[in-house]
Amino acid sequence: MDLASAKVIGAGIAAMGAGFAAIGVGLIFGMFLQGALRNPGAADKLAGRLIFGFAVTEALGLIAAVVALALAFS
Amino acid sequence: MAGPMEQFEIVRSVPLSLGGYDVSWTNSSLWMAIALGFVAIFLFVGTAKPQLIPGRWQAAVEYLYEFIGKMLQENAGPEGRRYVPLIFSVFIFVLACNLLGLIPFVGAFTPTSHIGVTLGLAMIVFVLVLVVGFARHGLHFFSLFVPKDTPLVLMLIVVPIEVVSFLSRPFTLAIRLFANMTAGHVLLKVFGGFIVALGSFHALPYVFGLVPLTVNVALTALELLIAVVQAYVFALLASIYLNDAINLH
Repeated sequence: MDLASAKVIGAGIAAMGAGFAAIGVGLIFGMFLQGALRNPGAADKLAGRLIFGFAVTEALGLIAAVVALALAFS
Repeated sequence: MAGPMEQFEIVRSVPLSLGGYDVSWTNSSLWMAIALGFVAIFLFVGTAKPQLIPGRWQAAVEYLYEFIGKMLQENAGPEGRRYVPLIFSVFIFVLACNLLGLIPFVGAFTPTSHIGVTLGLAMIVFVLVLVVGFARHGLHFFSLFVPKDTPLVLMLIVVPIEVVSFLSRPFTLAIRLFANMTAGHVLLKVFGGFIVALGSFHALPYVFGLVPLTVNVALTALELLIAVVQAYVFALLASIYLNDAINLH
């Protein structure tokens, strides 16, 4: 297998990390919705933490995406 | 046919050299200067004729300032307010750089989509945390890595893990911002390519290009949200790290 094909295959494998991060992001929002349903009054106060949790989780997925892009387009 | 990664190319407009180092004026420098100009206009015009009951512009400036002030107070304690100038500067610079890159047609460039820029900003925060930590607590700052009441045997495992996690902070800050900006803009360009590809169907031109166009509109809205959220998260994490330095646990 030559280097170019190996890079492209590696890019495809690396992009799977974005799928795992998607599970994490869904978990964050799902837990927030569950908690907001139980205690609607406290939901507004937690919105800041929601955005923060989303951003931190999304970052990990995007790291995988950037690795995939770097491999595919280098 | 341009690929999606060409938008991140650094173009030297004025090649300059200083002692062997390349300090050219590039498109990145230009857009950082434009971001600075926008921030300066926003802040100066907003506070030019301050009134007790603020007008809209002044209210916007005050809202942003108080937002950062409250964030620092919540996350770093009452002493956190002293760091508002620095955290506010970092926040509004990152916000302006992120947002300006989304302007279409003018060949906009996102300075924060380069790891050099974001790592520089993250290093500012990290060095601030170190300097504040050592200035306040001296060598006692290292007690940050030792959770309370840990048995000695467990400490041998926990302390290296804590140190590594502490040292990785500037890198995760930098990579989070740079990866979000890069991936978002690449996605916009990829769907732009789809619009052209689907729209150039000879029998029925333009019509099929509407589908990726709709997706692109939604993606642009998402990118605007992410630009703001990433700036907020950068500033929030900086406040949390400052809390570690000021209040050691």
